[in-house]
Amino acid sequence: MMNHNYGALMKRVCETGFMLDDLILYLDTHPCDLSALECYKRAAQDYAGAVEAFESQCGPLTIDGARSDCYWTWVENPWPWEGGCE
Amino acid sequence: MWKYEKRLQYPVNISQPNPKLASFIISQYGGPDGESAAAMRYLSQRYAMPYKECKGVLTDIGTEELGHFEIIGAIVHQLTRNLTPQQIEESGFGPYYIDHTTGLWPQAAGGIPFNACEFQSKGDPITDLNENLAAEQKARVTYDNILRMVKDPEVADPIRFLREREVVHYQRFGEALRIVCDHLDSKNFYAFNPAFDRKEGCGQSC
Repeated sequence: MMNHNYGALMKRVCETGFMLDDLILYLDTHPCDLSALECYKRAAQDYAGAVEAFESQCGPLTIDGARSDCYWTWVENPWPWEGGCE
Repeated sequence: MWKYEKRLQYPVNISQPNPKLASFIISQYGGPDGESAAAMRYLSQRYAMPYKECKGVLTDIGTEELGHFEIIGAIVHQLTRNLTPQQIEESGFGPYYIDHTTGLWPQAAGGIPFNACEFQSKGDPITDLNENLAAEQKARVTYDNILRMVKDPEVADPIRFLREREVVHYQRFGEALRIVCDHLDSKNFYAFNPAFDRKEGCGQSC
């Protein structure tokens, strides 16, 4: 069930996602910082690419990614707290 | 991981303040059958749930409860906007105001602070789902009790929405309980705890 690229694809989502998380907090208190805004734009693209790559091979990361017509793939394993056990 | 959407699940637009009503409704913010307890109950129970459909429903109802926590916060906030000291004194809102001004703080209608004893996470799927069925009914009764006190349609409308969601969640938890039981020994549902006991010949709980 688990795609053999799962670990690498998830790592990329986590790295790009955390970049966004941190930039968001900075921008909340520095909404006029143009270079941070530019960073955010690039980081958001990286994150979207990482999510797309993950979901195309490993299934939905958010409910928006549950695209199958014949099964509600959202409930498929694994769930994020199940790390270390396949 | 969660992401925030800058919207309420159901709109709240209350034009007339009513601090007395706020002091009742705040019970669904931090009271014994409130939305904060609901979110923590379901999101905490997920780890001991072995079945995927039920992990999904606990995650997604738990997430919706966070949205309901926000709706209650918005109702209480709008009911306590632009108050005069006289309104505060006459409405009985004074004791809350003294400690929190008009900030939101999770407490029951009687002033008892929120605490984790409001909910259970027992590590047994049948027990946890029965807890949830009861919790949804208790929340539904609390909303019924609130609705008897509410005259303002701008307040009653979102409260009715929240009450209906309790009924829907009760239905989904009933289905989740059926799914759990379908995985168990039909002659004795309590023969083992699928979240803890290992079955013979199987490396992990099945």
